[in-house]
Amino acid sequence: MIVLDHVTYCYDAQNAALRDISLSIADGELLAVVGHNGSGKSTLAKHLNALLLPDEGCVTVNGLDTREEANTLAIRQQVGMVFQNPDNQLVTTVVEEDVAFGPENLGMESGEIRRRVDEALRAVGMEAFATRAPHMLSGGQKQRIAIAGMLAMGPKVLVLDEATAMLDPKGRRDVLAIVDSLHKQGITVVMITQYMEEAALCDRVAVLAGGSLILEGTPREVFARADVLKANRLDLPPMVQMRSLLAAGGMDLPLCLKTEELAEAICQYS
Amino acid sequence: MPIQLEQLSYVYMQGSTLAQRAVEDISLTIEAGEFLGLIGHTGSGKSTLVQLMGGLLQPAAGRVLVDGLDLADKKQRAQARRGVGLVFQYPEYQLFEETVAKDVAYGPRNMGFGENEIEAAVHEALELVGLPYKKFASKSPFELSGGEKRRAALAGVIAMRPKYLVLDEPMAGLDPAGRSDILHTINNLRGEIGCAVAMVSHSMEDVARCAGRIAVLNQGRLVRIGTPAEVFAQEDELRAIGLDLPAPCKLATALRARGLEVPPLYEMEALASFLLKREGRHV
Repeated sequence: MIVLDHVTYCYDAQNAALRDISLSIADGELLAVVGHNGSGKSTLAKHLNALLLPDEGCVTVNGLDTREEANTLAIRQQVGMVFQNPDNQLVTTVVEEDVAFGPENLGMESGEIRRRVDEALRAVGMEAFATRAPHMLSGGQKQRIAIAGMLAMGPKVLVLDEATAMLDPKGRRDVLAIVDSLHKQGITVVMITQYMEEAALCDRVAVLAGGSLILEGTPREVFARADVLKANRLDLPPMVQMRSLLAAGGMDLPLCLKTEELAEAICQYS
Repeated sequence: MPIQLEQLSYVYMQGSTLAQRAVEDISLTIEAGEFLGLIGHTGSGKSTLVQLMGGLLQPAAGRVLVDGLDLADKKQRAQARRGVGLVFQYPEYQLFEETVAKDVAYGPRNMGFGENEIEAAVHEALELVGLPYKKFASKSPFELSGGEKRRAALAGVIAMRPKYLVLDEPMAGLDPAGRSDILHTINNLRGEIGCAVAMVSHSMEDVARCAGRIAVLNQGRLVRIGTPAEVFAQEDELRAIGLDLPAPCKLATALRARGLEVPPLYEMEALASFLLKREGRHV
């Protein structure tokens, strides 16, 4: 469990990037964080594994306060991060060495590292690429390797900071399928995203604007608030947009997040 | 006059053991004033094609003609390139001047515009991208928000008054409002300055919304070109090459699977109005 308790953070004296944010992330939860450019999403993400420390308030990861330097290593082992640009996160010239980078730095013995690397590559479906060069892979494949690198450290929480933003449709599908399977295995996933259809797949959605948490709830609750979202530069997932277009023409349907669900509702209506 | 790509091929690291064909035998014409969408998986050759169109890379085979001028010819290239405005991925990383106005003026100045002409071009370009001159001209590019920086970078290309605007994922990384603003701006530019647009995008929805024609690339080859209706009718082909359908198409497919007769519609508004009419409701 991660708890943010009245967290405020400023990059400079004039502007707070995060303002008095209180939010808890339960074990095993799949949480989406959405918000306009500059809303504080990435700043929030960096507070989850002590890359940034709050100016006011505190963040605890399974009871460990991120402000205590002695906790930093333990926190980073528990909370892994994957960033937006696939080219900025891979450090070695061989895929399996890259995945082994974390465990090696943790000082694990080599048999254990081997086991973890194999398992992590299997989890992201990249075992066939173990001895390939990372720079020859596609963007989606690179992101899967970055995720494997995190998994090899045995984290309890995975934070994806717009990890699908630069990927083609298949790359996005693949990463989302991995997120889904990790979530089913009980790993907590925090997914920061600009894609409302990705947020719609999560258990809960937190909405940031101007550094404040302005809305939070299940996708159904959050996406029922079109007015608040649009006022804050966000949008609705496609099926919710479709439903509002139909509602505007007098066809009232329940709020549906998924394509199949809306198709069913339209047929029922007829 | 068009941009004509004739049997174009490009090989990275030609002659080495790592040689890789990025573009293979592509013939394609971008007509004056049209909006062409370019889609394809990562590594399908889209960005290479963009650079070939701008004369930044020289093809291994084939040629590029811009209004009849051959990009392979040194003399013709300089003139041809003036007509083609390239906007790369994350163009805001290329902002460098002290003020927005100076940054936008950089291109026209290099092209030898006179001072009055530069001033007019900067003024016009900033207004076109929705950054009012009065408010933004003297700001530092680094004070701007992400979406505003992207617009300023776009203005720097528009100020050169290109006939062809070639954009590589111009909406990547922006929030939904930013994406829709930029797309709207790009589409409007066609009407305002009469330029053609060739846009690379991973968003099938955005391409479906704006493009008159869509070119589909796979592993360096052009596998299909046609109207959105023609291209998005090929669901299996698109999925097999790592692409997808726009969300409204998926809904239409799900409705057909339930026995409803739905025409091939790929835009949200069009599908909604079809469904409403079907229910006997007038929109």
